[in-house]
Amino acid sequence: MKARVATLQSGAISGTATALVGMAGPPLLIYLLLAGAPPPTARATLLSFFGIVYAAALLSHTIAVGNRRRHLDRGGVS
Amino acid sequence: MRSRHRRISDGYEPAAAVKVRFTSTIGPLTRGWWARNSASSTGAGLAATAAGAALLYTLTGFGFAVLSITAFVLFVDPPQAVQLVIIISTALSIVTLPGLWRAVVPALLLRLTLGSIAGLPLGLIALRHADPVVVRRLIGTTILVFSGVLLWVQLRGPNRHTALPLA
Repeated sequence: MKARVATLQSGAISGTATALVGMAGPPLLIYLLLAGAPPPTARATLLSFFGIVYAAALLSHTIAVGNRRRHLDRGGVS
Repeated sequence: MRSRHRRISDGYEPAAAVKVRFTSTIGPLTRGWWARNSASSTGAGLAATAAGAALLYTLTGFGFAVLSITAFVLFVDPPQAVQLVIIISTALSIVTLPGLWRAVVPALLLRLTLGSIAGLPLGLIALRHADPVVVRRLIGTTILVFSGVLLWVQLRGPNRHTALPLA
């Protein structure tokens, strides 16, 4: 039960980090190392989770944030 | 040349910060050329970063986001840098996914996915409303904190007494 909650929590932290700073790996990697996951399981879990969470982040970013071009358009040198 | 006097630490225009420093070192000879080609030079910087990070990704299997976001954020705004990383990472994971499914623990992956679906809106709201300067600092802080924790975990090893059983 405790482990299930910990898994959900690390997934939530990873999801927040993906949407905010684009990094899904570190929280999950720390969790898997603490859990003592064997390397093949850790690698497969990480990479398949990347596939899911980045696809979800891409979808939600497209809907919620869009592409704000105002800073890029202004350029640096004018 | 108003841009020469712009402050380097102007967080709202990261591309400008890089360019101002570059022009001032190269000198007046290239200034006109640089001004005309500034958009493509940003693209070249982004492409070079992506190539380097992808090389690391093929060698280690992860670390693309951590490496590329730090350099992307120098060239474009945080929301765009994050979106670039998300788009490239989605493509990369689609390429690497086949052949991995056999080693996956379904219950573990399901709980992680449920957790991340709960966490995604939080990050989205924060990114939508936060100051770009704050997000840039947060990116740096995240990398520093996580690498510190990761180093600590590696040195300490999985603790027998507090180890989390998988799934």
